Amino acid sequence: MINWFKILLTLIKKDLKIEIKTKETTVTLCLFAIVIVTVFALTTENNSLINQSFGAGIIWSSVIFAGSIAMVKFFHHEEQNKTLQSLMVMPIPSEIILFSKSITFFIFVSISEIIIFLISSVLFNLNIFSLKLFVASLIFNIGYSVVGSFFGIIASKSSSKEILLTMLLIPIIIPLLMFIIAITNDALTSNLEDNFQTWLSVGISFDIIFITVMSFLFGKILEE
Amino acid sequence: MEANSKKILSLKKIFKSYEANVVIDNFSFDIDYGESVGIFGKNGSGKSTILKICCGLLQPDSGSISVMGKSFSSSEESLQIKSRMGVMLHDDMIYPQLTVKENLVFYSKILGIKNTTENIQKISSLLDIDKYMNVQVIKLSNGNKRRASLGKSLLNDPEILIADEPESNLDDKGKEIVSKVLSNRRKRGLTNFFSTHSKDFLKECSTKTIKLNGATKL
Repeated sequence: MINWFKILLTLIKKDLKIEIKTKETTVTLCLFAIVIVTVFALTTENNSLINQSFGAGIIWSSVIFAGSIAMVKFFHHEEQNKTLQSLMVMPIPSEIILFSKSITFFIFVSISEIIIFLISSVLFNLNIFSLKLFVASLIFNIGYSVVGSFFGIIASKSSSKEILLTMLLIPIIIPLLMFIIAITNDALTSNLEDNFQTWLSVGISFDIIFITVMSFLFGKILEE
Repeated sequence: MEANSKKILSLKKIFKSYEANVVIDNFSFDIDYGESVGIFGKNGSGKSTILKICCGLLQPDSGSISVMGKSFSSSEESLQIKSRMGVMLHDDMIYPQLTVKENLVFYSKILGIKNTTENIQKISSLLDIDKYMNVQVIKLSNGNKRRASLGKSLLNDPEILIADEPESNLDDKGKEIVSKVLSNRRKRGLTNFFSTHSKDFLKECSTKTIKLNGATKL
């Protein structure tokens, strides 16, 4: 019997090995995230006001924009070298390819978030470290990585990759953004207990629905 | 070999167009087990399109295709076909950031090949790329990239090898090696289906040829 988990791991290891050699995606991701957060910090006179008003917005817009740019870079190489085609003629189901890309990107996004959280907590004096926010971030990262990988592959075939990816990705992940921003806002104002369960179910539902739909559609979009 | 059929590849009434350009119009042919079939024709005549249809990368607009008696429309059968097929397209389809060896090890794992080290060693000496095994693909010449790409497609000793211009970018020695690989496979009863622009290569490597006449407009 074919061990799909072993193949999934092989695909992830390959992507990580390439990233360790080139460092392109993680450097792009972290650099953009740092720049966005720092620019906000420099242009705001009283950083302590950020806490209540738009701390969550700054953190997650940094993640989204830096993530979109890194995603384009991540898939551009696959398209340029036609290595995705090479995987398509291998005896592996297309869902395994989507999951491997999503898990690799999940790792990259998580690294960038750790950096953004650390910088934000220093620059804006935010107290954002809580277990509930950590769980919510994981749920956000899963959804963002799966949807991003799906549209990243579509966008990589286009000449206007960056614009197309942003146009496709942002509207789809609005529920996920609402979920994570609401929980982050609550965490910043220490009101995390109030709506946590409701928002958590929104995030989990989004992930389940989109993982199912994207897995089903991925094989079809891989065809030229 | 399939017990009830000597056909390894069968295309029936294939039609494929890209918007208004009809690339393949009502095209049918069969390839028997052990044949070495060369397809030729001018640029844009649909050679690469046919090869991509044969390896399941492209869906025809109409018509049917069966490989080893199986169809790409069933996902289970598609996986069975792909595990017994080798594909080398016009692009090298190997990771430029990795070394040749890392590429071959990666694809061996994906294909579930057991004696990876021995197998890779055998292929590298067959294609004369031993000395480039630890070199990053991006640093190789186009000819050596082509050989590495062929090496990748031979990893599972495929029953059918589909190759799009396997001799392109190669010097005389490289062409000789590729030609030897194809004829050795034929002698072992394995099937080759390749496209080429070179009449000499076609004469040398094929037992049957197909000429394509080119695209038309709708």
